[in-house]
Amino acid sequence: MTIAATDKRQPRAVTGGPRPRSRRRRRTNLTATVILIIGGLYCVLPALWILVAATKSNATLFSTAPYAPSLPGAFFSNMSGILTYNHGIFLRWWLNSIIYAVGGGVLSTAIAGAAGYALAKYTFTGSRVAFRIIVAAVLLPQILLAVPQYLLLAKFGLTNSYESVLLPQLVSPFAIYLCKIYAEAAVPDELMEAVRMDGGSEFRIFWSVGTRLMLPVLVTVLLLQFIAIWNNFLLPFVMLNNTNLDPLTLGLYGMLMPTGGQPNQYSLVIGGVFLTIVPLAILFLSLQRFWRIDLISGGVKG
Amino acid sequence: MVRKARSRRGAVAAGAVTAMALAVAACSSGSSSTSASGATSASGSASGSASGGSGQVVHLTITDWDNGMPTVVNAWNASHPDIQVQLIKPTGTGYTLYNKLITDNRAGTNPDISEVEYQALPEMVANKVAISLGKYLPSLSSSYPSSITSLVQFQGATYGVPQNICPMVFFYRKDVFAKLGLKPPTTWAQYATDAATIHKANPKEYLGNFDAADPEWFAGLAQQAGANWWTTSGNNWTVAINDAATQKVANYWQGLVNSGVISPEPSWSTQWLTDMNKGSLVGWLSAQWAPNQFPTIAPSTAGDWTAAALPAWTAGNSTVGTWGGEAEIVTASSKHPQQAAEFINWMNNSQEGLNLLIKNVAVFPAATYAQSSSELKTPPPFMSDQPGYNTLMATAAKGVRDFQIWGPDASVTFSSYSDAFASALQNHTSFTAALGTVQNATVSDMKNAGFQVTG
Amino acid sequence: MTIAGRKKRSSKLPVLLVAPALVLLALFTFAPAGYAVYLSLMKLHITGGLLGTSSTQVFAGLGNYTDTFKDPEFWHSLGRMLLIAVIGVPATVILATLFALCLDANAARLTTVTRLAIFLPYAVPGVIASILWGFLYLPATSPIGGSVINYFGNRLIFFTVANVAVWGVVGFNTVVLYTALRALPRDVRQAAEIDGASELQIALHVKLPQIAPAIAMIALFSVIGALQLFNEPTALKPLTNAITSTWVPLMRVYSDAFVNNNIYGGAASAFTLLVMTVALTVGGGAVVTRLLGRQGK
Repeated sequence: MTIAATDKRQPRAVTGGPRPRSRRRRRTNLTATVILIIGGLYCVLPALWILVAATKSNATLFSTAPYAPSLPGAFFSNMSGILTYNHGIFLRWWLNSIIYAVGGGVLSTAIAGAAGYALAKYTFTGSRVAFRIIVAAVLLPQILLAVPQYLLLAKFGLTNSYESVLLPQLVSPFAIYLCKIYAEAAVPDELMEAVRMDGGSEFRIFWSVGTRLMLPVLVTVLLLQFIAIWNNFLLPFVMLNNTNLDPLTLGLYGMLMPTGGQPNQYSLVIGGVFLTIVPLAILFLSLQRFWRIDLISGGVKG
Repeated sequence: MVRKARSRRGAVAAGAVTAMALAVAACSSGSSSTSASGATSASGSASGSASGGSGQVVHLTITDWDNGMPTVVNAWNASHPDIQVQLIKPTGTGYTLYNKLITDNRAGTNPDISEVEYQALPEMVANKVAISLGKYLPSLSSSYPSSITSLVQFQGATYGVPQNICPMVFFYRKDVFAKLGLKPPTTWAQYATDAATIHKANPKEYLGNFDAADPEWFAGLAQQAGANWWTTSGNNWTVAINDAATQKVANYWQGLVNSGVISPEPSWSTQWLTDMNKGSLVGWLSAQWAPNQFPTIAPSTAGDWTAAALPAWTAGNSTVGTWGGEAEIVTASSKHPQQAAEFINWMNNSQEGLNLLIKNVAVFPAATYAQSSSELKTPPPFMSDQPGYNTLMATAAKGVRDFQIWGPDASVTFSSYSDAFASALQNHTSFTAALGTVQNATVSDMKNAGFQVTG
Repeated sequence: MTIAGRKKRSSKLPVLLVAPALVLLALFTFAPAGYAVYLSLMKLHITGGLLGTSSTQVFAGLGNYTDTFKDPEFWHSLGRMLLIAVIGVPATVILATLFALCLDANAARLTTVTRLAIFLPYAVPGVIASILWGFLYLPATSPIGGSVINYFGNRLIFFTVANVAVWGVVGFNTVVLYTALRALPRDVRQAAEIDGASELQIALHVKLPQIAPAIAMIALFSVIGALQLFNEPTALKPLTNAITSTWVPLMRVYSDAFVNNNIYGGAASAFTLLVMTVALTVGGGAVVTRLLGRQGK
């Protein structure tokens, strides 16, 4: 199967395999390098602007050149300003984002992994239909559904709560699809049969064999879900009406909307954006090695 | 989020505290005749709450977006152990909030109290979100001028306790004016001339901007010119957003924008913030609350701005419109409307509550007795070199003219204004045509909903 | 791995494992869509008094739908969204493919650094990215010529908005394609190298066809994303007169439900958009599958 074959190749590919590394004649592919540098600059420079802007107060933000940092500037006052704003609600927003993204990520991964495993390794009444439904749901525009989800939950008085943001994000059809095809390839029937012969229950097979073998796809799905939920703006925007429940993006966006008694706080918001992006970037970079994003494209091949 | 549950000593003690609080509120809200009736209602409600349950603390929630509210709410909670109020800051403000209030109203999950702008109040009433306060606060209207009470009273019933009044005010850079030898314009004709002078002297400078992003700004200017976008007779509505007065205002500004002496940028954009901070914009037609905003808009220009009366259509006329202004409502979801009414009456209609609001939220009170409060003797920090700032506000407040009534779907009107005028600015088309679009959108929406509309 | 080997003595476990997913799908994916259909056939009717003494929900038939379809602004918003998609989706796919191929090129340098740099925008939420680009576009604060080029002009605005969206997702798509490339078997490539094919020829004739399915997949997801464009125009709207409150269809859905107090109209436009999105992606997917099938993949 494709994925098993990929598994064998992956370690070699990642570490460079049989590529000519330490040879005498090292002709640099200038075109590729230049393209990559341009691409890298295009992607990084705007983000770099945040670092520079975080050093500025409102006054200098709107009066100095964009990439000229203000040193020593207002960096620390921006940091302390956003952290103490409105009795420390920024930390509350951080906590909320973690609840939504980590909590939602873990739960949706568990649900997707369980469903994927069941659909891959078992045939039962309705399993084909269930899988077709899930594949069909992949095509449904998730963001668009936020407004109907709000209307339905509002009818039952369930909006403006943690559940109203968590529950709609607990099921990801694409994640179930990924888990299913991975489980098909990675969990051998023979192993399951062996455990059965030993007297193990189906649940024991799932728990000790299945989940262990599915670990790579579970980690991938977790990270995908985490990012999707972390970046989701519209769903919390329509569901919530209490800044204490806001995730980071929503809270910071709200700080930019002026009302009569409350000005917009650009320098504080930029400080908050800085404090949002930097940890996230560090998280990505350090967890890079655990990403099995080839599983996503492997899903297509399968 | 402060909740202090204090144990009650006894029904009598709590009843006495409540009665005293109400009596104080009633006394400070007007003449002796009203305090008599206030005391009557106080004892009436005191006995009501006393018999309502011994040892029970009533918990209320209020949605309010203003900074500085925690101090106000904490002060109430400290002195009212049996009615504890929790403050909720909403995620979205304006119509994002109001629409959620309407939708959540159907499920009954709204907070007990909400802050609502005057222009949105009829929409709240039409959607059954706000309840009538007549039986809880019978003597409310005595504290306010009729221009304010007409904003919260519909067909004889009162639906909110007014908090503040936001007359429009003209702010200008006194240093720039001095350099050019200009005096602040007292008429719109003079404003136009000054705009041209300023722009000619420095093509990078503008006297102001035409703000397509703030419908209330434009509505305030229309109010000053004598417009009434909605009028009623019996149960019938007449919509006249493109009436003669409003067209006069639109044509005036079209002239200024077309000749390039007024910037077409929307307010609050980063472009506008930079222009204000760097001195490309040297004037702002704003309202009473502007000094709260200046420190983050244009901190580099602290000390350079002066407030003056808004230019008038005829010299000496002191009519001005409003931009902003809120009342507090009790929602239909509230299980304790009596206590909720008590709280908002204290907050918006007592010297103590209003003093806290003035000090922490920088409001200018709508209640006339509070407009001479000692808290108003000092100007807002940004206008510290204009000690008479609040006196100017008091004078302006006397000349306030609002619409006779706001329509039941002002949200549609506002969003149509933003789209139509932004498009007119972007594509250099007619403002009068844009007004027509707004008129049509408003009328068709009202008709579609079932209101009786002519025009 | 025989079918006989798969079918076990009946166990309740698989049903229990699948149940949460299906229940959640029913509750939060299909039920809201169904409720939207129901609401779209209703409207609010106010009777009595000036501000309405009673308001009831009444059957409106297809009235909300005809209102939507008769509104020229709806079609304009659809057109604008499609225009942005036509700009943004190919840009995303082409750039991601280009960067992935360059990262995989034999003697490319600085690949680790540039790969990290290209992936970085994914850590920036779309709304924040829009605010940030707003600073870069507006004349007052722009380092990229905003005082000369009107990024918010009627023609450029589509590229302006598309750029923000593309910037945000190109990194993720690049990494997907890059790992697909890394997973390809080396033998064909090495054979071509030995035969003297240039890097470019290998890229075009060996690598590209082999990752065609992955490219198709990111194209599909880009299209689905483009049809739900909301964050970028919403965040850019306060900065300019060029973006109205119904500039793209999803903004209209939001505006109906959360600004104009018209949840019925909002439900109708939401469902219309849903049907159109599914139709477009299914149709597009079928076309792509047909194309790939012709290539013998």
